[in-house]
Amino acid sequence: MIGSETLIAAGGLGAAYALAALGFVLIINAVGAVNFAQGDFVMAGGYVAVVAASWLSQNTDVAVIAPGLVILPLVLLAMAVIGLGFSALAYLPLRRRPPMAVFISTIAIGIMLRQSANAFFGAAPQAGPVMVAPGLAGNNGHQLAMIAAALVVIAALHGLLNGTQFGRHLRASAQDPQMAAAVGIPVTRMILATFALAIALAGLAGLLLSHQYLVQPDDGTTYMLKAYIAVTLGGWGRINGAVAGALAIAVFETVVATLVSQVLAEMLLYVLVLAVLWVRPQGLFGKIEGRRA
Amino acid sequence: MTRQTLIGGGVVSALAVLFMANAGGYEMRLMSLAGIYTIAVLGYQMALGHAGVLSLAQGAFFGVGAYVTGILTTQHNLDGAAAMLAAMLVAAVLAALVAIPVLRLKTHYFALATLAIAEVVHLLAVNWTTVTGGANGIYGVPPLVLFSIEIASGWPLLVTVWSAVALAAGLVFWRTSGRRGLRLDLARETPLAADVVGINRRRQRFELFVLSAILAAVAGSFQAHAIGVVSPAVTDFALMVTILVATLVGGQQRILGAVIGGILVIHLPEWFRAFDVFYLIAYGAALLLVIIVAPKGIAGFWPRRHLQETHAAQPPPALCCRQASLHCANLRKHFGGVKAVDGITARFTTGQITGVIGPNGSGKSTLLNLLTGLIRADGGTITLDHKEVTSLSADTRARAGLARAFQHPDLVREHRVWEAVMAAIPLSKDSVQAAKDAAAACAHVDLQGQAATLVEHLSPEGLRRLEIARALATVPDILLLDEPAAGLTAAEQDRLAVTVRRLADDGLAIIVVEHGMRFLLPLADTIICLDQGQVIATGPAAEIAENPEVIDCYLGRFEEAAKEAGK
Amino acid sequence: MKFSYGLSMTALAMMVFNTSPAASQNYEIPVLVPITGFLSLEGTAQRNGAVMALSEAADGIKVSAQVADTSTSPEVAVNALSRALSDEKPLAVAASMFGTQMLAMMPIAARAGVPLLTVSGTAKLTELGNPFVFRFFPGDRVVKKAQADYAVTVLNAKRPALIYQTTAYGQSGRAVLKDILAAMGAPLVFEEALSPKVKDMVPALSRLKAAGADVILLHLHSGPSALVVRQAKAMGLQQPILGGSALHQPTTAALLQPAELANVCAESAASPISETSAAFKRFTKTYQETFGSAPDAFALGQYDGMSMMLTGLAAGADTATKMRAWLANNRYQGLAMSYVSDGKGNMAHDAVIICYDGQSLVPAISRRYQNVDGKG
Repeated sequence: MIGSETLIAAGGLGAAYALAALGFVLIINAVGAVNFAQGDFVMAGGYVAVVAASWLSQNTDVAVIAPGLVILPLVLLAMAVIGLGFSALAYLPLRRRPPMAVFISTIAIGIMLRQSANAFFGAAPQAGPVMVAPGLAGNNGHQLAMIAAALVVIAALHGLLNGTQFGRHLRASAQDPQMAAAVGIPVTRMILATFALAIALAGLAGLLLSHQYLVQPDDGTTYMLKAYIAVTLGGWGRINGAVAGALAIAVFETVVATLVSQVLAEMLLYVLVLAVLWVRPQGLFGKIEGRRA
Repeated sequence: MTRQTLIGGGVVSALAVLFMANAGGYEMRLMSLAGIYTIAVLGYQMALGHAGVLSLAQGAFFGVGAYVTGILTTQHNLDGAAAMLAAMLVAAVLAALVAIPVLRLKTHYFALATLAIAEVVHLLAVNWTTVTGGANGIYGVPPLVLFSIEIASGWPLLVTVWSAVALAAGLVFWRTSGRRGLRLDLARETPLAADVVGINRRRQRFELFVLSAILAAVAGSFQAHAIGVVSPAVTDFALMVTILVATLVGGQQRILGAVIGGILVIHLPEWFRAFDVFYLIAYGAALLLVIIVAPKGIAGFWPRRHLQETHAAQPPPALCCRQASLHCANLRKHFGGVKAVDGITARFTTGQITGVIGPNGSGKSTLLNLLTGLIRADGGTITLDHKEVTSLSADTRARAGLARAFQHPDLVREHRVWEAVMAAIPLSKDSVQAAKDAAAACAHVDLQGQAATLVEHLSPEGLRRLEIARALATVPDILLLDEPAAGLTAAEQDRLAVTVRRLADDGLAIIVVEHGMRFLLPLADTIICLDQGQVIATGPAAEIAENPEVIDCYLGRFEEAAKEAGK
Repeated sequence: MKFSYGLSMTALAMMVFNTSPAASQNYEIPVLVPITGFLSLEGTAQRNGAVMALSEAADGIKVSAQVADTSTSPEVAVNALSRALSDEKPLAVAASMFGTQMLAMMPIAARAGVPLLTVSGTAKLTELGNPFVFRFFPGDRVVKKAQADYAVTVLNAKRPALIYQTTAYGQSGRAVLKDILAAMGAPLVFEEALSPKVKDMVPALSRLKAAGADVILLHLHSGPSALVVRQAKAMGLQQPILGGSALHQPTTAALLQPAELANVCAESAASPISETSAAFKRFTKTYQETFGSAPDAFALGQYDGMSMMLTGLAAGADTATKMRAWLANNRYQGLAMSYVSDGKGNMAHDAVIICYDGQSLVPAISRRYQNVDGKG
């Protein structure tokens, strides 16, 4: 039963989880707190994509071959700005408080995002734009484009964090803010940049998923849970670990659901998480001790 | 009872009477639900506020309570009271089973593990249809029956629920206030300090976690009767968020906070109804606002109550007079390839001050941590009074008479001096004896006038002395001091030396790790010099100061450094 | 038809010529439906239907809708009902389509003596002997029978497969459908339960394919229905798909390309946008203009239910007690069908099967099933 369709499905799901987990892990590194609204920002990104795509189709005459790709920069930009607003609301007022306070403020933001989506867009699911038109790349074209886009973004993020001055500053302020400030890195600005980046990534995830998986106000919780699990299994705060964790979850879910049942896949995933934490309290790929959540 | 309590009680009773006289069915229903959530929040405070564990399974335990009640009352004709007891039992057993693997996890891992447990409970509620009724749930749960009186909804339920709130509050007060509360603060805020004064943190957390689950189950059981239906909604994460929100908005530790949180979390959405579909947005915004403006929750606006000093200043009684000795043989500890402690043998006895010196990285702190049990040895033995303690935990050793003060004072900022000292005294001592011990500990370090001073207002010298006082409060035989003079002025060091000498003369065995030779050389009877994890010299202070090897590897450098500093 | 027409005329006459109490008093009708949370799509349709019916009350009858959200839990629903009952006892309540919420509200409504008008399909509601429940949407025993019959007799299902939701709606429908299909000699060869959160249907469809199913039956909410249809087509599955009511909703069809809907049918109580009569056209147009979306069968069911209540009010049922009796003992010709109680509160007894032609997002009525349970 496990054929190419299953593998592509697992890849698509893995790409989705990985993008959600990346933004999640960036914020953990920057402020040491779990962003419980990360999944809701994925959902919000989906709605931004829906709005942008409908604007595009109303205001352009040419038949767009790849509407998703065309609006991608727009979505990234819009979500980065929203990310700045998010940090101003949920992080800056609480920066001198324990990470738990930020954790709770993100829960509040999550509630507001979910309910705003319901109030302004309604409860009906909506379909976002395709990445590339089906005529161009066959039935699986969108899914393959989704996986490819995720891979490109993960590679780009890796390059950004490891290969640029900006990335080094970002990592330095995450690892030791006081030391970073002492050597002249503008830590606050770096943290704000991290928020913008993390939420832009969530937006990208939202755009990529909005066609394949539709978008609904209540979608956030699932993405947040999967991101949380991916990051924990991958080793708290480790970016590559988060991607590996996300892929592992997606493959596990898809394979168990294909062989046995979806309900069991979901249940076993949580049992697996508990088993892993029992055997390895520091996570599957984790080595170092993390900070307080 | 203070006047404030009387006035507060009067106002609350008047409000309650006013409410009962004017409320209709709807208001009573909301107030009953508010009471139910207050019980769940009281439980959650034990886990989150007192034990300091971010559990996301409180909603699941609530759900378990509701389901057990629903199943037993509808399918097995059990009456409500018996069903509630069963619900409490099931939740307690489940929490105890879960606690064993989960309670040792660090915060975010603990949060995820409890979240996973909650999800499993939710999936069972939805999919184990033969038992739980599936997504439809269980309907027709009869009203609660207590002593064969049916508790109808309306005022009978309201009064019953709030009586239960009072009972739960009493339980919480009993387990988390006074000296117990101080020890909880210590374990939560400064876990290492809790270990070295002999607090069994694992037992503490286990007890609080299980109690929190039991209270959640009581709340769930009441809710099943109040709503008449048990559905997977009671195991949903949304309910967990509701309890979490109520706890944070009200306050994480105060009973008043639980009441405020429980009432607000039920009433706020109702008050915001006028906003139509926007009402839950307003709810989220209100929550955000409270987090920003009220870090300790709304109850945090009321001042914290402190444990009063109960013992008048008296001349300090003598310390212990027991002959004690601590002995380590061939002690070894490796970190990766680094041999931090590599075969150290030493003996420490009553009345003696032993100084431990050595360059940075020579193994001084590791030795101290090995002796107190904060880390485990790779080899060798430690014996306390001829009893081997090598494999015992730090808190067990502390209870056997080992005490320690930290280099960086590890104290709860919100405690007063008196409370910080009382926190170290085992609960097995009655309050009179505890007050005596605390007063003595303060007096021995000359802190007796400052019992009511807040820890955060103490000077560096005061903090150092309080560290020692807390160690003394455990009535130890052996006291380990980690760089007690670091950062103190010359005059402060001299005063501290007098204090430490006096403690040794009173019969304590004292081990001092120190860099400040000016402080240590005149004070210590014996000095052990370490280098690269091994003892390179041992003997009387005067002798060690002349030892060429010691000078070469340590003192010389120290003198150069002193000269540098002098310039 | 004639009977109810006459009744309406009588009612109208009463209103015009009599100064009944109905003329002077304003009746506030609570509309307690989920407008947030996972059932808010259906709940919003319910609200729209109810609000629209009340706004169209005949001159002289003053009624207004009092909308309150029931969200996702029985607790919130019970609070909303208890609040609605706290002021003045309402004539009737438009109540949630979420079965679990109904189960919690029913005893309270019974104690207060107020009828609940719902479009919830959950079979249990009318099996508990509560005389205050009135269901204006065919229950599972009606629509699932139509679905099974269409699958076996029209689509020639020998090896049907079912994908259903792990919600009250899904589990209730699945139980009924499974029994009926077994009785018809075409037992399910495959069934899979999906949480509404599941977005990836490939695993379930792969197993369905391997089980050799010849017809795919769905009993899913809107989003998952659309996802199954799309992913099944992407996988190249040729089996006809016969969906649940969600697949008739215009919002669901809007998620898909017309080509993806080829060979897709669904059961429903009605399909307002498929109908061509003047009355339907007017209803659809007004609804679209008022609420900015196309009406579905849930909106129509609640609309018909509230319209029947208004007719009862005009006929003199101006207290909750009288209203309950009136609803229980009269027949009403609504827009979707003729409603009459079977003695348990099941008012709707007809169903339709709609099918898409692969070129349009507007389905055509393929077969009408009348009086499926014989109680109509």
